Amino acid sequence: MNFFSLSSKGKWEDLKKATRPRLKELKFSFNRIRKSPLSLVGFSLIILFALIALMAPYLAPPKYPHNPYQIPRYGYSATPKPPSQTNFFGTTEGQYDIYYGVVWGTRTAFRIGFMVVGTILLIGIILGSISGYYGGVVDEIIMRVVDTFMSLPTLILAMALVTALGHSLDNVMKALIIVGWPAYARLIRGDILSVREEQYVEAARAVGCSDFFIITKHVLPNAIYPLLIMASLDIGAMVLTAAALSFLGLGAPVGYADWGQMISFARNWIVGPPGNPLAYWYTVAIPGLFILLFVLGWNLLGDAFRDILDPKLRRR
Amino acid sequence: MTEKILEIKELKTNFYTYEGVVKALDGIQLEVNQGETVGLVGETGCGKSVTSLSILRLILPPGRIEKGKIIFKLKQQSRFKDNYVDLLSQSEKFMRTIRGNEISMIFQEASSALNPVYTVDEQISESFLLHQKSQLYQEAIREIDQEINQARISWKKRTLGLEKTIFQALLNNQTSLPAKILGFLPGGWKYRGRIKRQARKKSIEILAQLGIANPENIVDRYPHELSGGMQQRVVIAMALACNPNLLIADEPTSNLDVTIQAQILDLIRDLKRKFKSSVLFITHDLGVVAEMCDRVAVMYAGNICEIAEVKELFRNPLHPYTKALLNAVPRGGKTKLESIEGNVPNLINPPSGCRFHPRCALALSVCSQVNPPLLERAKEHFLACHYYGEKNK
Repeated sequence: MNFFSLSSKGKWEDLKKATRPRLKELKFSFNRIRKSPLSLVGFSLIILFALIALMAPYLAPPKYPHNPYQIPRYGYSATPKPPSQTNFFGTTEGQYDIYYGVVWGTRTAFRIGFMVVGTILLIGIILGSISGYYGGVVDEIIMRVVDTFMSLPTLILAMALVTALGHSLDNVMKALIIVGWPAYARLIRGDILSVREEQYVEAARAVGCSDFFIITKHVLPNAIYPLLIMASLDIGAMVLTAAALSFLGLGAPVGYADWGQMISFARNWIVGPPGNPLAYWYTVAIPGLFILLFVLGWNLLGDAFRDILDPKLRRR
Repeated sequence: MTEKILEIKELKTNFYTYEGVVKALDGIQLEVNQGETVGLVGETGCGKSVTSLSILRLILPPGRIEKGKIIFKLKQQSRFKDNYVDLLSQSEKFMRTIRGNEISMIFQEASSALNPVYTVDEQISESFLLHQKSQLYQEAIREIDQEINQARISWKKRTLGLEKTIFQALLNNQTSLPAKILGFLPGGWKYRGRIKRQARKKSIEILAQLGIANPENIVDRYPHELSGGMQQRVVIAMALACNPNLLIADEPTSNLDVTIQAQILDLIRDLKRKFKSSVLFITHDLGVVAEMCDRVAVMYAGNICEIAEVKELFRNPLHPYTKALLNAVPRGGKTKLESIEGNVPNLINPPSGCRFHPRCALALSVCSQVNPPLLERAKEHFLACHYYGEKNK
């Protein structure tokens, strides 16, 4: 009986013994990912985008070091220019460099995705747990507020909010948070409603746990997985909505590196002159491809998470 | 001289549902003495589990404890006279120090009473971490002392010394704000790790006491990796972790097969003796009652109809319901099983007077009007029945 022997070797052995099952499970998770090509594609895409975001200063050295998100311009002509030696992906309307825009726009996309979904998760978990665990009047109030938000069309509510708050990327994020949290609160509430009836919650109460402790330690770990899966899917979706708002001219200030804005620049050049309809393809296709791959990556990753985290699908 | 450890007086619990008020408990009277096993027997839905939950005050809305007294004797010194306290008049915070520490409960289905995402160790440790912090601190300090003696390097001695002062400060003032913050801070990991290791040691100890072979291995398992009998043992270990004064066993063996059932019953009996606690044993199985209990209380539709010593009850049942219940037990040589005519009454509109009278063959006219009081008819034999009183006038 000396598994807490004080010698360093004993401790090392303990650690090895304790971590072995976890390592095994981790290995199993990686195997699951490796075996499904789609999750592999999702992971690769997200890692690629993460690398682009991290390496942005090296891939596209900023022209204005104090404000790197400002896309450099190469002239003031409205007509886009095709890819060339100086502009790998060409320039869009107003001679904004497309290459620079999409590279730094990756950072913007990650920022929007993580900040919005992170905040939504926090709000949703707190309000949803209170509502689901305590029930009664509190539940009724929170859920009616949720109903009110959910009865309005997402994009239109977001547009109204951005218009009211003023045009900026921060306000777009705020609007997306306000629009997005009700779905999360409702989802986690439903799961908590089913978990709180479990006998181990009653057992925890009978042992003398406080409500806070029961929620954080016993209820949430059993109820949170669907929410995490939804969050990973939503990182892409939020970027898409933000792009839609930018496309409508409600997003970042003009010239700010943001995929939605890149597409909004291309609005007049989707169809080229008569006889050559694809003349300006690069203005739409390149930023569009970035958005498409980013969202696709997160969606595939969300599916992969579901396969890993859901114990019923995991062992199949 | 046996002293009362639990005394329930006139306990009434109602559930306010859409269909009406369910009068689940209608003035229960029950006593449990020190070191005694009391069986609580009755059909499904007669209020056995509600009684146990009422004792712990775990009745959730729409249920409510309407009135009554639950007088309980605490094991530790306290501000109450003779350590007797009425649980129904205490705050929720006080109740949290009672639950799991003074009164604990063994749940019916072990597989669902264990949280699937935690290992056995983490679940048993929980009650130590909640109720026995000071002992854990003391043991941690002792462990640090040992480490200081063995440490060769001076800076290591110094850091250990610092750690010791922290633990001593925590021991002196457990509810202080710094102590709480320390648990959350990243730097507190080390401190929590030490405490958790102490709790783990204790969990292994208690599993060993339960006669589980290889407890060091079992503590790291998740509940789904254990067999049903083993899960039930873990649930028992959780309940006994803090050496409670009263153990409520809510049908602990109803989901187990007969051989495991016998093992678990033996275990509970042994542990009761070892830990010197009292047991309130809830079951619908009269065979188990005969084997386990010192006294038996028979419940019917939210009322207690008979309380007697176990031998007395089986030899000389006085209440018609008890007689019928004993008759319904399958026995060798019996070709046909007897059943009790009629159905369990709806507790939203219970029958007036004695709740058993519509099904009772001996019912008198008074039975449908007055609810019979629980009276001592023979020595240590309490009975709530008009017929017996009329007969022996």
